Amino acid sequence: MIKIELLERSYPFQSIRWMIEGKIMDTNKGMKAVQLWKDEDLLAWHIKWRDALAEHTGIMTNRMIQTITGEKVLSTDLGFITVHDVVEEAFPIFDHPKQIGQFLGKYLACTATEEDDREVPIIPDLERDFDIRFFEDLSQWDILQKLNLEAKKRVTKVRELLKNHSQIVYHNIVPPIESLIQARSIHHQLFWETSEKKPISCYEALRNVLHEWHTEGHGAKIKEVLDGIDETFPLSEERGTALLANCLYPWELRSFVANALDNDGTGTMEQHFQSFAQEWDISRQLVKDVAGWLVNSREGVVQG
Amino acid sequence: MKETLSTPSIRAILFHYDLFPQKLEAIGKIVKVETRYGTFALKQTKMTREEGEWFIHVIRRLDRMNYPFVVPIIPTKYGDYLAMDDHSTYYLMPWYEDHHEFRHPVQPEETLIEEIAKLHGLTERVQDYSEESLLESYNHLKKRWDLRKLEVEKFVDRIEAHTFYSPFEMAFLTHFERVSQMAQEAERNLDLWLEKAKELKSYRSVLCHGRVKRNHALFDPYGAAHFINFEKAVLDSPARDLATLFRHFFHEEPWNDIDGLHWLAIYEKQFALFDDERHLFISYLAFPESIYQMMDHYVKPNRTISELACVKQLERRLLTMGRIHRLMSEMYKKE
Amino acid sequence: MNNEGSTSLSFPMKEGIWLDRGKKLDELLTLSLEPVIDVDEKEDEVTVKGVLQLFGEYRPLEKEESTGNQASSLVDQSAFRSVEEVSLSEEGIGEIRHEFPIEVTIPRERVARLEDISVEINEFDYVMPEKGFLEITADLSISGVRAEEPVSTSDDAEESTEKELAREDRSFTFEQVRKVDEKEPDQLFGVSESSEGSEEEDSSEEEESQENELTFQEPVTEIKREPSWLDEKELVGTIDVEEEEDHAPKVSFRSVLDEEETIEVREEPEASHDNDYQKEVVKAPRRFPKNETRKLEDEEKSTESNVKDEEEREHENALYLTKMMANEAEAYSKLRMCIVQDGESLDMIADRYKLQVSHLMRTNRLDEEQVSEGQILYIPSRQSSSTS
Repeated sequence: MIKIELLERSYPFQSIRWMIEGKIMDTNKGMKAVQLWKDEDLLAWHIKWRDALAEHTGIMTNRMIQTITGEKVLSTDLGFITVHDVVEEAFPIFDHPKQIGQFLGKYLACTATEEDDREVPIIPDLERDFDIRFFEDLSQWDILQKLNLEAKKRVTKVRELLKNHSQIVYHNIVPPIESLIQARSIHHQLFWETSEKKPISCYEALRNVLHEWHTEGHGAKIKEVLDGIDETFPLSEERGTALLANCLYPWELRSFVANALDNDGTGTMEQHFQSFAQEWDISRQLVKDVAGWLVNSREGVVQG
Repeated sequence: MKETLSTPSIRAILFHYDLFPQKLEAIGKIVKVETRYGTFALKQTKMTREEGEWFIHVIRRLDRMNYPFVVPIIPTKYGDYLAMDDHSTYYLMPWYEDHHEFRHPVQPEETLIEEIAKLHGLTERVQDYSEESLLESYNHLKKRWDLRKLEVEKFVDRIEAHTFYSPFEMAFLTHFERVSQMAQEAERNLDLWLEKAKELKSYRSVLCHGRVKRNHALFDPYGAAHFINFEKAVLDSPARDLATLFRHFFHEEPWNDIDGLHWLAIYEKQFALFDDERHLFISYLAFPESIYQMMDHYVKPNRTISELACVKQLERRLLTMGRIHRLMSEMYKKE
Repeated sequence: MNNEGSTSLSFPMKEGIWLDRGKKLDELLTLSLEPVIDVDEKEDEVTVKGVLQLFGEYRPLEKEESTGNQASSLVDQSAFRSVEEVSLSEEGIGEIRHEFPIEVTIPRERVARLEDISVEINEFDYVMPEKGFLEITADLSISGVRAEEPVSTSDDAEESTEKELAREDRSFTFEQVRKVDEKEPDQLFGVSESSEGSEEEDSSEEEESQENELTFQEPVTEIKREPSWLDEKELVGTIDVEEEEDHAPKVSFRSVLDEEETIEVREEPEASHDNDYQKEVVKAPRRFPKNETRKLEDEEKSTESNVKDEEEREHENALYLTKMMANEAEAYSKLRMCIVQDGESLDMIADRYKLQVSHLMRTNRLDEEQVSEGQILYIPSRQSSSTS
């Protein structure tokens, strides 16, 4: 357990009390999050990346707050501790699609180190089949089977889209974007709550954002978001295609299978399926949007 | 600070410092920030990335050498000296009240010149000698001066053709000969600087504040000054800061050649100038740029100041020029 | 399904089908073969006429499809179907539908009651010698026919023979046939019940793992009977792929029957190539010298049992009754196969077909509940098919 005394001694905060034990604390300087890291390399990467994001974009993010002695990390018996801001107010992202797009472009282009622009597959484990065997009790089993087949077709199309590029191309890795809720607001300024997870392909991250844009019912603004992204992260041939391929890939089936297998009790299998089915259709719309946008922006460019 | 459009962005910037202001007050480019944990000054600048990096370097260097006469920069909670948003770059300092009355008799000019001398002393570095770069600097300045002189001569030719002179033209023409002599003095001293530097086969650089003046220092009640605004700090000859400060003094308060010698003595007590530097200093002071600038003002099509005001300004500057001339003479006399 | 004194005619068929328009078959999901026949009585003949309906589902390979679209825009290249579209249509799965005509003529006196005549698919299997080509082998049997007199088929025996010989290598495998046979012999072969039969089964079981050829020599030597009734109907043909607009694979079957006069071939055997056997018996083996052993065996048994004393019928009847009850008296059996998909368990499959796991295991002679991807399971039908 992380001791409050240790935090008070190490950080320029007083009157600390836990709001969520070991995770969120209230201090005389506002709410702060405490993060425990086991993986030192990942931590080092995140420090660099977040600093780089702040420096290159001017966007605030949950960087490591320094200790009194100017350290970004507190090394303890439990592991490495970092402290971050907690910003309660959400940023009205859907009112500013283009601005958010510009930010996302900078986010995707942000590199912590030279090696970040390295060879990673656009879609990891592209050839992996989805293991749906555990769902045969599901009342939607028949549909699931059919969707599984359709998913395989999607994978085939992804392969087809990427066939002119090598499967592995140089592109950036960024912390995953799990939700647009990560966009917070400090006095009307964007504060981005960066995930502490392992970095993923920037295209996958972007796909997730665009997906959520749809999920939240603002799909009509996707084009503006893409316009914004294009300004700071030009979706030229390769990038655009890689993004489209990522949108086309049946991520939702992958996560449905994964989530249902370690069912955390957040819903019945049927409910999981329902949201999976919704995500599926959203992906479909998203693919249409992105493909349509790319075609428009590449006017005059001959395909094939 | 009035609730203007920029207030939210100020508050957002203050988030970098975990400061929650109870009161904001804009004073020029400074925002006075009052919080439960004290009062701070937030400076808004338009530094470029490179300028920002240099500025951070300067701040770190001052911090490392424990130079006491500077208002410290407070890093953000992430450890940065600068905070940025889409439009500007900011840095934060503790709020220092500037005093004009002191517990003991204090001459602010003396304090400033002494502290600048100390800064120069602390940051003195002998540069690798390069005649090439020496000549380059020399030619660069000479060229600029020649250009200015040419502009003025053209102006003089033009107004001499007039049947009647306007009051400003009259005043300018009357003193033009003296002004030109000062320019020659400047050039002569510049030549001497080059000559001496070549002889010495070395030259020094110091960290120059760049814009040293009374407003860029905050005095405590005991008369100690703390410099602010190192944004234009630069590594250069000490003559640069010294000339800037002297010009500032000439401009601010009535002075005479005795004062000038006194100030120089205070400076040299801390940091003695070499021969070459002294000639460069005199050269900087002698060149009648301030007189030339009055011509610029006067010929400006959309001139806002009246001809009378121009004449008064010109006369004041001519007076200063005369004092500089006397100061130069006195300096030579001493030698 | 079986009556006193009746026996069944069984014969093999082997067909090749090209899938539509070069559509490549990625994975076969289901395949079923179902007889749909009419029984007609004409003067002194009974004609069993109809089709064998082949139905299968497969997942096509996508590559061809998308390369065809190269010029189309990204929007088309990346389009896929919504949940609703997928759940309402079967397009994602290619369908194989094909009908093989069948016509068998039987002398009237051999049929006791028309209602007793049934056509069964005893066994079938497929091989895919190449993508897009499906080769199906099956055993048909017609039950409800008495064994005294020969039945003639309308086949052109010579041609069939040639073709069959040409295709020997592609015939279905013996082992698979026997597997099912031993578990549920009555369902597959109505005439296999006899005391001798069980012995033979035992012997064949021993040889199960051996090559096909080995199995039929022994029984044959014992059988020296009048096999007069025996004849076979063979369906041999080539399958043409019709280049139609339709997406569903359409395959036309140009069978011998279609093209040629229906000729009654009396049981008079053709030139007997196989000297080991009496000519009557030989007919089947001659055509399937290597792979049709199972059937031969079966027919031999049938023959044997037919020629047996009438006394035995009582016994047989008793046997039949039990068996019939076990099989819920299916008039026409529809045999389905299921290819185990990745991640499927026996439980899942049994559930899908509303069967007991034990039933599936029995049918497929499984020792344990473990199944693996690609394994073929026979799905016993529990519903009576339409008899038309």
